[in-house]
Amino acid sequence: MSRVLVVDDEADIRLTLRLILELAGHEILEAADGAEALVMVQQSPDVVLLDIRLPDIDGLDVLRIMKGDPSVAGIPVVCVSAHSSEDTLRRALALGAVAYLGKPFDFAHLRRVVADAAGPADSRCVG
Amino acid sequence: MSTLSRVLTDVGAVFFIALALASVREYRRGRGRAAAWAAVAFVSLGFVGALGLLPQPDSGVYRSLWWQLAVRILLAVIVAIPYFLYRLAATFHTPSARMRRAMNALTLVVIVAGFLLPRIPAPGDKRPSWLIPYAAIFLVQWTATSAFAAVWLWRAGAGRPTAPRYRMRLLAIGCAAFNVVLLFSSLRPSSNPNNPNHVVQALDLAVAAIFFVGLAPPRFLIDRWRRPEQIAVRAAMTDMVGAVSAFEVGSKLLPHVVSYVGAQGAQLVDGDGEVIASYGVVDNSKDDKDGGTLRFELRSGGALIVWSSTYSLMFGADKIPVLQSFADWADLALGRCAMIARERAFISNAAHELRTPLTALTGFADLLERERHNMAEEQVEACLGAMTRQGRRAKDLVNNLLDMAQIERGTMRFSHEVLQLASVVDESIASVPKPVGRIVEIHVPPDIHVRSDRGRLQQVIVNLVTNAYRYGGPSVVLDATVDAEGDVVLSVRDDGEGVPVGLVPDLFRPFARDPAASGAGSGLGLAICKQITMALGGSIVYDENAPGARFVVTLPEAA
Repeated sequence: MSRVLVVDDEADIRLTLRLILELAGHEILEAADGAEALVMVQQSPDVVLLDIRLPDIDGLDVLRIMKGDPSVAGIPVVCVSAHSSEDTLRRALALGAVAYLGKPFDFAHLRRVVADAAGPADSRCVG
Repeated sequence: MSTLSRVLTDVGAVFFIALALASVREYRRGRGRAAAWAAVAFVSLGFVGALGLLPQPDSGVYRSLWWQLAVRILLAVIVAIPYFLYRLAATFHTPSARMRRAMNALTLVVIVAGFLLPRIPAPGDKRPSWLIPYAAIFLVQWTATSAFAAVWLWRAGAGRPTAPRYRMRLLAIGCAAFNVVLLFSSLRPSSNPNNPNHVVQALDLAVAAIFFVGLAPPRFLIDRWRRPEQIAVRAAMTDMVGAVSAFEVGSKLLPHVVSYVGAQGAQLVDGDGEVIASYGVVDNSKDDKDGGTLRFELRSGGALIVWSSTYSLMFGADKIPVLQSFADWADLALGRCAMIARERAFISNAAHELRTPLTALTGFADLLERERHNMAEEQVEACLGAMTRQGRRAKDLVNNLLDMAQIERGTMRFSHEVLQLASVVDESIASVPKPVGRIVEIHVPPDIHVRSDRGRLQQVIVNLVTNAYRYGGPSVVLDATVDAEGDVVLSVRDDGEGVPVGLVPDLFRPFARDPAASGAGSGLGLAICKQITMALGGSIVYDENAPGARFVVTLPEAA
């Protein structure tokens, strides 16, 4: 199964995501802010679940930095946010996110999106 | 002279004097180049008209030197009148350089020629032949300058608001009619000064009346002309008050401002000088030498700026006070928009704050419902613990929102009983679970009493202590004193890093929170503290100079 990096400043949200995905067979890495996320992506997770509102660096900036770094640019990123505005969604997808999840998210939908993102490497939408 | 002639002459003279006075009044009211040329033209006309009131001199007088000189000066003034009207029209439409030179030269030639004439014949004398070429160039000058004035005043009225359009067109008609009167009287000169041509006199009166109505129309006529714009303005005001954004206020207001006073353009700016909305030409680069900037301050700090034009100074001067009422309406509408924006931001922030606990709660609930059989006991325990935390967080947030709503509606009730501050502080500290490793020091003398509401005062202290636990260092200190004014000063400080400088100005606003701080705070705690302390007759401030974070609550002491 895949390794998923969960980036969220709320410990209980990380716990929810960890339990939901662990029980689906994924291995979970965690980061509580943008700086930690940029360190953790060096461990080459298969998918990054990235919250947009982070305490130090904006999630979209984390995404931009990742896509500018060839060693991690290929890792699929699913953005997660309580601010599910059209504009944020458009910006996240324009920056190379493969999907966008609004909070609160649906249990089954979350697992499906992560599975799709972590699917065969040749079908990933990265950029 | 017949009685009819005398009456016509006298009434005509009075009309022309009234016209001169009206033109001076218009100039004093609006200033500007156009009003100045109008005043010069009509004062000259009034002067010539007033001479009609003088008695006819004896025939001998006509041959005297001073009379000959006076008549030449009078001729120069008469020649200058259509020239002044041409200059008035030229303020609305700049003629070509060649046209300007031709008009100036022609007028100068006719004036100089008047002074070079050998002798001006007395009324009734035989007209000498050398007078014919002078009369010819006189008529050419009059016709050329009057025609220019008539055509360009008429054209300049096009596209203007109704009242100024009618006024400019009446002035244009006046110029044309004035020329017709002159041509008519030249072609049919009266041979007897004691029996002037009644048709010419009547036409003179008509010209004066037309000019007068154009220059200073009676109130009822202006009201009638302005009715379409007034209806449009009322509609705009209604529209503007319904606007929900500052830009919408500007875009609904400015076109009416411009059309109502015939300005070049207008702009609405906010308190920081940032442009909210613009309409028309909003700089002075346009070729309109008399255009000035009129600025109407808004109570909210912004301004309504209007770039006036030559035309608006002459015809819109009396409307300028109306612009202040436009600005007042804009102020009201902008205030309403700001309130709507605050409410929207509040609702959006509240929804966002609720989403985090809801996400955790629904996530854990889904998990337990579907995967309970696959979960280890400690995973279930972790889920239940997180659900309790997030449930409490959601409840606290909703309670805070309800408190804010009650405070803002003014329905929160406060008691004002005499309380021992030390006991309120102890109860507050006891109600907040102390994180491991934190030390709380309390220095509140037992003899300090406040007149306050026990529950609400506890709410304030709990909020401040919770923040200190959440964001501060290991030590929290509460102390209280009575200051020189007899107020009780309670301070809550921690030894953390303090509030970031950038956050301090907005610290007591709803949902103001350090973006770098994560945690379970709703962002409403300090806003509620401020509202409660104010309602209790006190205040709360953040002490920027203290190390760590220090909040100072001032309360009235119980006498």
